[in-house]
Amino acid sequence: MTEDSVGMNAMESKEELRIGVFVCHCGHNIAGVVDVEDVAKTAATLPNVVFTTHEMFTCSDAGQETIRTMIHEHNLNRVIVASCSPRMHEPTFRRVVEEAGLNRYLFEQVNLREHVSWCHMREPEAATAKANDLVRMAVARAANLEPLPIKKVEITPRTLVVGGGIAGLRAALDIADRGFEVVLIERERELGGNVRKWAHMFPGDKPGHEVLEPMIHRVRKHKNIEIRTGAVIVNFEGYIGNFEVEVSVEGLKKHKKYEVGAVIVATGFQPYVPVGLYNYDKSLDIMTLGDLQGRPDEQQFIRPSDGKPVRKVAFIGCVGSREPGWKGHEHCSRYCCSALAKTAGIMADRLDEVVILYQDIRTYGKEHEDFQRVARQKHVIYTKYPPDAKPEVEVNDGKITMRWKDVLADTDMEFNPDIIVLATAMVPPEGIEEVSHTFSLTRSSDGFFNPEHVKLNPVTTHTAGIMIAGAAQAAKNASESVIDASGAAAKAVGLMAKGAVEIESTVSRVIPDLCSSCATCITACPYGAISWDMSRDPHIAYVTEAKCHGCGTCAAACPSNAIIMLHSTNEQIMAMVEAYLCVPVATPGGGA
Amino acid sequence: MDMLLYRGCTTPVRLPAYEAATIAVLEKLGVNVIELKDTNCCGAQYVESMDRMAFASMSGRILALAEREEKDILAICGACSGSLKTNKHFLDHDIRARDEVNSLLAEEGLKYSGKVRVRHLLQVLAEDIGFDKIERAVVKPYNGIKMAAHYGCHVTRPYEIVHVDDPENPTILDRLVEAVGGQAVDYPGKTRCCGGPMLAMDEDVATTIGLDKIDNVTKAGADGIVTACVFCDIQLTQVQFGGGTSDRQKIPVLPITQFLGPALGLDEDMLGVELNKIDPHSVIDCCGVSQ
Amino acid sequence: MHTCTTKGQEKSIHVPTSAFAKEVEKVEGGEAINKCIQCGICTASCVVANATDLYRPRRMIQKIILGLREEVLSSDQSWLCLNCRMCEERCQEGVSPAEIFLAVRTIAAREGHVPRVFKEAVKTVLEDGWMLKDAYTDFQEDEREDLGLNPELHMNNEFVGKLRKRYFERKKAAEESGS
Repeated sequence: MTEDSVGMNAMESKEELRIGVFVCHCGHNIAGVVDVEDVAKTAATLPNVVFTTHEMFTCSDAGQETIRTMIHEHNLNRVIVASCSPRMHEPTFRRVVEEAGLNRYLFEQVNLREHVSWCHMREPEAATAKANDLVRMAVARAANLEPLPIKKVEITPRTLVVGGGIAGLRAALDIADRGFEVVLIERERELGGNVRKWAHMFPGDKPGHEVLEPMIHRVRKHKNIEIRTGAVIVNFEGYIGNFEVEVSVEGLKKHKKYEVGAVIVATGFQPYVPVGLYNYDKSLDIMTLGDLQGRPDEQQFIRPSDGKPVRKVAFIGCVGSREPGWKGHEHCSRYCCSALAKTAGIMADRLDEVVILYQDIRTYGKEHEDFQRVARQKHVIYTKYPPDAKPEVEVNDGKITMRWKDVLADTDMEFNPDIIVLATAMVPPEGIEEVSHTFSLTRSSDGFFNPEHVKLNPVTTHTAGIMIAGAAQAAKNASESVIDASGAAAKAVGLMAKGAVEIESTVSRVIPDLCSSCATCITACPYGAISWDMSRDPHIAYVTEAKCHGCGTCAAACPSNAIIMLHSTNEQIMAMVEAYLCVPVATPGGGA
Repeated sequence: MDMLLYRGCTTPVRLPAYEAATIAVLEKLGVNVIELKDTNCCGAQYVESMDRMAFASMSGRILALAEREEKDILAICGACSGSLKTNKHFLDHDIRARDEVNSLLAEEGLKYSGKVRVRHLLQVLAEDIGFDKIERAVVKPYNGIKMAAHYGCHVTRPYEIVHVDDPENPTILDRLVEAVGGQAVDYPGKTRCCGGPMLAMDEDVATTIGLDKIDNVTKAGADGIVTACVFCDIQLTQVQFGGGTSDRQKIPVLPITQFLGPALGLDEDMLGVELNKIDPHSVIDCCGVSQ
Repeated sequence: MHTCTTKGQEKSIHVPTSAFAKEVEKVEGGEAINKCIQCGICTASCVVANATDLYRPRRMIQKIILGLREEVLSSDQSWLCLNCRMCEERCQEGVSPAEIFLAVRTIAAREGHVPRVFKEAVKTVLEDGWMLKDAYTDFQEDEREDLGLNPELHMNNEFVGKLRKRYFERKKAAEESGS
């Protein structure tokens, strides 16, 4: 880790405080409710405030220039902007004060918009009073702010890709092609994951292993990719840019250790095995779509039980998916409607009757509707069954009988197919709990990993430096998994190309003399950022700042009050409370 | 211009006023209407449902008759217009069918080769004559009387075959109403069927459908309805006389040419006004009256 | 199709087959039968469906797709379409339920399933050449004369004789022999 002391030299500890307060109109957003001129005037009477003003749009170029100019003109060493939410413009204003030579942590933003004008729209007087309170509190806090060093961590230019399925392969190639090293680990002996096993893919016509062949070939030959199959992670630790992973590889006596800067988790899915549904376990002729796809082409038209030719096929959709109340099976598995349409269309040419029993038809993707149209043109019969009265299946002496009600024709149906093919759910693979624990990832109710934000950050996670891609994140088809993989790879490459990344200085810190080695904070930390500092005797708790998110849980939990939150110290917070409760007398020299 | 009038079965017997008014109005506007003789039923609905080739033959013969006269056909009934156009489309694209029909027509010395067009009355008024000419021919404009337009089904649908007006938002009748000084009134369900074809199979359903239209038109504040098909005209008139309608105010139904006639200065007698089951004087007396 | 009795109630159960749809597909007007994706816009647009619970175009098409041949051909359902073509105008997949039902009618007609009123109307047309010969009385003639219209309607009834021989005698024979 390197430290960059921007603005540190500009501060001497006993220097006179010179606070500047910039109150923003935000057009009509704040000024329409809050009397911003009054707020600026009142701020001028507060202790240590040497300059106040009000601006129409502080975040604009003009507004930013004003801040820079006033810092120099009035020798300001603390800047407060009373405007929108810090979530909006804190980074902007921090950059502005830094450009003017001040440490960014000497800047404080007061939220007069989301917290005042937007929620107290009909009470302008009370809103203005609240605005004045908040500015007064911020001024008191600013007086206690300290500059903090800007820290950077270096990024090891190597990425660990966990999972050698289509997503992992794509990610590995994308990263390696840009000149970075990749370690690709796969727990099975072969690369290719689930795609390798499937005979009919969509939208193209090639079987899975043919689709993968060129990718696997390139991966094997790539000088930047090290492949470990039959590999299992035995240990993983570190923080962004500096992870250490220990892998046990089948056939090797010694474990392999790698240092990596980023991780992409592409552990995929497993197909749900519908034991107990539709008599799946009672007949070899009742199989999943995965089972069917795993059989060589010719074999797909032969009954597994007695070898007789298959003339009539029934497909059933939504097996083990979309079941309200059945945990882990409530989600739609997304791939199945399109896969069924494609498969049925291909097989229909050689069969007498093909029937697809569905709850809904979700052929949503590009060209997927065409699979349905082609299937129907080939006389595949689509029939809708009610979700609360699923088809009944009986097996007698090898003969299969199905009964269901066609909802749209309002007719009871009966059918004797030679085989039944069930489109079963995509569910998380074996061992996903260990993977989530290893990488500190959380999972949603469908059992798959959570991204950092489902819309805005779909491939990163809450663990900095660790990305997820493909079905590991949620049920999806192979094309979509590849998109994820390229996205995750871009994130990894972005990190590694920068070479180093700034980490927030608003982290927690253990005061060694006060620590009683109780380990409460270690357990409490949701990010696994606290560990033992073994160099001391007794051991004390130690925060890895690169992993810390500044949430404050440890500080709150510590029974010895041994942890401080930088930029949210007890003094800073108490100053705000006192300022709120006791309005200070207007001080001489504190007026602008 | 010359046009061959194909009357169909129903107009000459059940709504001769429509035939007379149409001839009078078109002649006034410069179209020479010639009677097409020796015709037969176009085959709509009944033969149509029984045998496709028989249907094509019946309409095909009418098209061949017009071809012999080398003039376009004017159809004033929606069903006839639909049949003729549909079968023209069929015979133009299916050589085998065309040969089969021609083999039946050969004996009479007739042949179908697709040379003549089929024009519905609305096409002739809107395209061949044009709204400008109609406006200029008005001598006694209406005083803004509110008329609801009912287009019927086969006049405007299916668009790919008939090519008359926008099927979801037709405007020809509305513009004709305005051209002679009336006010066109919009109403829900404007493009829906009148229910007429259902009379044969289920009279109750047919009446429900027809009365639904009358209700919508009445609620929209219309003083009268203009039509462009004989079946629609008869149906919308008839449903206002059925069971449970005695306390309703009856709303006059006029074929479009019967509505245009007075504004163009034509005498009532030429338009068959006394034959209307619902007296239309409340409408036509409004022409030439200042607003 | 077979029936089974459960709890004293006769329920008819059908076996799905593509045979009927394949048959309809070959008849003029029925070509698009397999394009229907059962979206329901036809039924939503249908004035008949709006006026009576007996008629649902989407349901009928699904029955054809499922192969319920006997039920569809022997029911009145396909004859309840009044051919207004609203469904054809609105269908997004290029299906005309009206055309499909016309195709079904022609198949039904070949097998002798025709509602009485249609039979009679066709009989009249094939004899007279048009529908309303019997309704054209002196009264109507006078009305026409008063309007200055030609009272002679000049309708040809010979051509339809050829059509009857060519297209309908076979049907009649089929009907009479009960096949």
